[in-house]
Amino acid sequence: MILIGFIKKELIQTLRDPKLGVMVLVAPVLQILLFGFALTNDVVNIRLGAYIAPNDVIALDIYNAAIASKRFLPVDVSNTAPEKAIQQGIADAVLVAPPGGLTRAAGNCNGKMQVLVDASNVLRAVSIDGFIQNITQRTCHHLTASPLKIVVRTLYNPTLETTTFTVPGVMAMLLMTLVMILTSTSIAKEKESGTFETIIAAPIKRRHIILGKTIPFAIVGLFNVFVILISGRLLFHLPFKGNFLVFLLENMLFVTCAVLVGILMSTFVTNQQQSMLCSFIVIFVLIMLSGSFFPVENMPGWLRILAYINPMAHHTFLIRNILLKGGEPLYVTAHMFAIFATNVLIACLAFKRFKITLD
Amino acid sequence: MTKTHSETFGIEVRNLSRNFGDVVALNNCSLSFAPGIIHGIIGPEGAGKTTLLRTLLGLLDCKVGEIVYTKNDKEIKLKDIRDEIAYMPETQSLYGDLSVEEHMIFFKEMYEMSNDEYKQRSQELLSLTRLDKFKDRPAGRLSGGMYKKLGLICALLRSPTVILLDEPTNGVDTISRREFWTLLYSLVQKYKITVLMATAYMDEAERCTCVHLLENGKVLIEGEPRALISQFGVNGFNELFLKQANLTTESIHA
Repeated sequence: MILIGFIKKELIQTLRDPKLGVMVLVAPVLQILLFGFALTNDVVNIRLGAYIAPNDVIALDIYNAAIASKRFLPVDVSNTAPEKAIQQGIADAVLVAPPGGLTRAAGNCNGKMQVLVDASNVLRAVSIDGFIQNITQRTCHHLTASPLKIVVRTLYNPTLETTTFTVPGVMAMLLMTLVMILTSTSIAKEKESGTFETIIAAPIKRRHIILGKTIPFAIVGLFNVFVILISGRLLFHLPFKGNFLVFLLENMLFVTCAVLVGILMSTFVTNQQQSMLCSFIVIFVLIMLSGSFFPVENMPGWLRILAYINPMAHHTFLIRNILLKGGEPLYVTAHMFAIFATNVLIACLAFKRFKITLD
Repeated sequence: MTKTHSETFGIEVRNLSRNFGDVVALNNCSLSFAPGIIHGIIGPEGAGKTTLLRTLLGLLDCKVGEIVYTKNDKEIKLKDIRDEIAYMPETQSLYGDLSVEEHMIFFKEMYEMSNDEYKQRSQELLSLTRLDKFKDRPAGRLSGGMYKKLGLICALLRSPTVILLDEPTNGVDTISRREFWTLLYSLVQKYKITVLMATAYMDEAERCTCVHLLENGKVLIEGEPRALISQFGVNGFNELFLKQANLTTESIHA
């Protein structure tokens, strides 16, 4: 009964506040839209120049194939030296055919063409290098007679869309940020405004307050799971290959985790400003170590250990696995257990630290 | 039936001391509260009134000293009578975005009241405080006096035996203060509750049945207001307090 009273009160307050309503409903859609489109490592719009004679058929084929791939944009560099074109920012890459042309050089078994690439952006340069190698091999495959043929099949993201990688990460980030801040700030607000003293003056147990603050925000969080999932599906055509119930169960675990982190955090703060600052620090660390945007595998060993005790990392792994790969049972169970174990640990800490006195 | 309290319920504070860092809030404080009357805990800001009330309710630990709770002259533990003590804090302790009725429903759930009990009690209290016309108004849009009355309703909803009021008339206009006191008298008369009211307003001391004058965490004097005025030969509590505490007029409320 006490719990129902708490849940009702929290839901009334959350849904009645128009600003909070915007935060809960509109912000996730807006953020997933912005993050999904802006946070992309796809290398496109590469300005490609060429120093190729009009009769150099092979070099022209390579150039035209590159432009046709839609990753490259043609730029005229005929009035500038190749390196100058890169330095001046006219081109990102320039194809320079050998003297006499690539067609003739290939005929003499000396088919080498120089490609100048702007490596001031390393990620972009590596991609450009790979694209040009790939286009060259596809365009000139008839010139070589290799007995070895390698066929690469790209699984789960055949078109190598960055959004397919980042959007599940954005989903995890939004859920953690929103639910954690809502919970922590709600308790901090009670402390700051003095209503916390009124609540603890009533003859209620600590578990009533903790659960009363947990359940409403878990409901809000789960509602957000749907908002975020639908946005991801509609805006980014995110695949959903797994079982919906498994997805829901996993999200319930993670939302509980976010609420518990919020409650634990609230035990360290006394006002809303501290709560926001604390949230900012915690969410920053959780995101960085989640593999949402930067692969955990790239991190040094000691940081990887921290990442593997981060529940948000397990959630991100799981979301990708369930959405893209259909949710491999053993993998899903192991990572869900990791989140569950973290939840138990955080709940114990939160319960121990959460005081219903003013000492 | 509305609950009245025929049982005798007493609180005795023995040598209670409390520090917050270097600040001494209560200094070897001893006093007792008889049941069924209005006790005024009077003193300037920083006298230790809020700390005393919070400690009586268990919101602050009783580290040095002892508080003895008795029911029908039998000593009992705080947790056994915790349900019978209500508290109204000094600070803005209500939810500005919840209406009067939503507050009452929230506290009904907190106190685990039955629907019938709630219905009867809430109607009585709303009519007594004349807030029945403002049931749908959010607490944040109530006047200062009405806000305090709502705080009192929330505290009294579960028929407590003892109610602790921390400066309930602070920041309230004279008319609302008078109304508040009338309401308090009728509540004591009707429900036979014990009121422990902290206030910095000296004129309110004379309205109490028994006063406990606090200064720097110590009890200066205790007793029935008129008897104390006559005993010390002063014109009122302002004078009495100044005489006892040897303070300047700036340190207390007029």
